Formats: sequence, C-alpha cells, structure tokens
Amino acid sequence: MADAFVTQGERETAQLKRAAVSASAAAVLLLTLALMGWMLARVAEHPGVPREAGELPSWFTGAMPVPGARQRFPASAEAAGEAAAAHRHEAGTTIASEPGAVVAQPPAKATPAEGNYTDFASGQVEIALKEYVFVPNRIRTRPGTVTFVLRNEGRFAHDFHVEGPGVDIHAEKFSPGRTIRVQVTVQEGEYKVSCPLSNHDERGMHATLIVTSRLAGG
Amino acid sequence: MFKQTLLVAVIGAALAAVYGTASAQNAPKGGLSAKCASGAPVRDYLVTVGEWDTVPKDRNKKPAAYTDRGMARAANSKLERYAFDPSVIIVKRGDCVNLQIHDLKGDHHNVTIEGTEVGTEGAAIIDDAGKVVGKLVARANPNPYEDPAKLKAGEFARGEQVLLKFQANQPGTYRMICEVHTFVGPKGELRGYDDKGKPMQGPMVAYITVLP
Repeated sequence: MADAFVTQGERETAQLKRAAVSASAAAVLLLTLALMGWMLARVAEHPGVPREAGELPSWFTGAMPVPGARQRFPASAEAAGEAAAAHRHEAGTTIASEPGAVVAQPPAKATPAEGNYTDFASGQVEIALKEYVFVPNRIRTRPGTVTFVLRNEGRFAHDFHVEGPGVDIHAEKFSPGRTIRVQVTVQEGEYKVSCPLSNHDERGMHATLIVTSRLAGG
Repeated sequence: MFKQTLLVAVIGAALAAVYGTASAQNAPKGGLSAKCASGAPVRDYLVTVGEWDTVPKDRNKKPAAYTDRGMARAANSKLERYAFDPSVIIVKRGDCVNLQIHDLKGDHHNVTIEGTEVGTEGAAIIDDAGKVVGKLVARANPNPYEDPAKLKAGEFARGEQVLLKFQANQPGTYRMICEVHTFVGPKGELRGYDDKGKPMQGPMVAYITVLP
C-alpha cells in the first residue's frame, strides 16, 4: 500500500542511490584490475631468478632431493643393454657399477657396440654442454678439419678442450645459452674432450672422440 | 556502463602486462656482463671466503654430529662450513661492480655466477695494494705442501686475492657459487654432498641482487 504513495522525489533519490552504488562497485573493480595488471607487469619485468637459468629447482616446490633415487639420464632399454659393453670399453677408468654385480669376464679391448657412439660423418660435431656432462659423450667422426658446434645448455659458463695426437686446443669460456664453433684438424686416433674449468672435468664433464675413416655410415 | 568500465579495466591490465613484458625483453640480455661500460658508477666490495668448524659434544663430552640427512655420525664428527662474507650483495642496475675476493681460509676455491659468463677463470690476482700480479689460469698451487699440487683454471688458493669485475645489466638475483664446495644438481639445486653422498662442506653460495 505504501508503495503507491511514493513521491516522485523519493523515486529519483532511489535511482540516484542505485547508480552511485554501481558506480562505486565499478570503480573498485577497475582499481583491482589495474593493480593486478601493474603487479603482473612488475613480475614479468623482474622475476626473482635470472631468466637464463631456466625452470625453478626441485626444492622450490618442497620436494626433498633424494640422492641416488634420481638419475641424470633416464636409461633407455638399449642403453641398459649396452652398459656392459661400455664398461668393458672403458677398462682404464673406474666406473661405479652395481655393488652386487661382479664382472666375470676380464676387461678386454673389445670394439664397442655400434649404437654406443654417435657418428658425425659430415665433419660437423654438435655437442651440448650441461652441468658436468657433454651430450653426447662418445663421439666418432672422420679425419680432417672438424667443426665443433658447442651449445651451452647449462646454468654456468663452460669451456672446451680437445687433447690427443697432435692437438691441444682450448676454446674461450662461453656463457649459458650461447653457441660457439671451434675448428680443429684431427687425424685418426682417440682424443679426449673436456671442460678445463675448475673441477668440471672430475665431475664428469669429459667425452671421448674417436677419429676414424671407417665410420658406420660410409 | 558497468560493461564498458570492465572492458576498459581489462584492456588497461592487458596493456600494462604487455608493456611490462616488452620492456623486460628490451632490457640488455646476458644479465651480468664481464666488461664495464665507461662512465658506469663503480662499486667496490671486499668479499672474504672463509670457513668455520666445530666438533659438537654430547653430555658425556663425546663427539656427536649428524649428517645432513639426520643420521648420527660417529667418526669424523667435525662440522665444516664454507661461506662468502658478505653473502648478499645489492647493487643497482648499470653499476660496475668490483668484487675483491680474499681467500681467507680453505685450501682453494673457484667463483662463478649462475646464468652468466662471469667467473674467476682468467680473472686477475691482485696484491694488497690492488696491483695485478697474475692471472687465474691452470697453474701450480702457490701454497707448497698442500693438495692439490696443481690448480685448474679459475681456482685460487688461500692467501690470494682475486678481482672479479662485472657490470649489472639486468635486475634479478644471481647465485654466486664456489663449485669446489657445492654440488649442483641437474635441476640447479645446490647441495653440500655429492652424488655418492660424500660431504663437500657446502653449499657455498652468495646472492647478488641487482635492483632496477
């Protein structure tokens, strides 16, 4: 009954009030969104870690690193099958094998399995350098002038050193994310490739380069 | 009216985000560069590389310590720790930073900054007056009767001072680590013990924060 006697003025006031409420709500929303946009921009501009460093480490998520449980390389089935051959080939160096498994046969200078080595027949050898490993680390190529294309995919600066018959070449240190090219003239034989920086070599940053004119491909 | 306001706000936020990302990408790449531009303000820091150790005892005065995985350690219960001091260095973008690193304790160290080319390989060895007396390349250990007999590129021995120079080009926090006393896992986690569980008295890390 009362509604019927609402005056024109009261009706206008109510409309005005409604408009004011919606306007203030819109203003708050606008402010929030603008603030979020500004924060997003700040975060995009200044992330907490260097952008070159890649993804966050595992401990950042709270997962404890379990030593030994994680392997550096997911061992594929064929790699597991050829592990024994690899052990036999590297008779000079000690490789930590499984504690129970005693190798019965004497370490013979057997030719390694074909799939064990990565062949670069074109004379261009592409190697990725990561934290304390060369990928691939068993390389075969042909004699002559060889161009090494070295990608630093790690988190720290690395270097390159080839040593072998008639060759002892150091590259310049290069930073993560960069690629350098090194030309080396090699002859037939076995070369040692390593990172001469600090203790990188003893942590596993080395590779074997075999130069032979009888590659699997040709 | 409400829809229009919302639209404007969303467009504004998107523009702000795009601007932020673009300006971040326009910033000079490489984070820290090994060479300083002329005219950049120079900041000098003296950083010592030190060590403390202790043999914790139980109530019977017997040495008792725990490994970093919580297991009791009977033999060799000396606890060691290597650290940079100061371990947090805050500089402004564009500053030319001179870190004068003094190896106070420990036999040898190496310093590298993650994600950059900045490291002690080939850096200058200086004397107390700041005069360059050598270069950090592979060489014999200057401390006789000490292991190892030969130092590799970038390693410096106790008593030596090294000048590490770089320009801070990009804001962020960079980890400066000693690789001799830190194990870096495949995901970049820093540990004080290596793959085989052998302790290496670390992790030895300092943080360099570059303000925008």
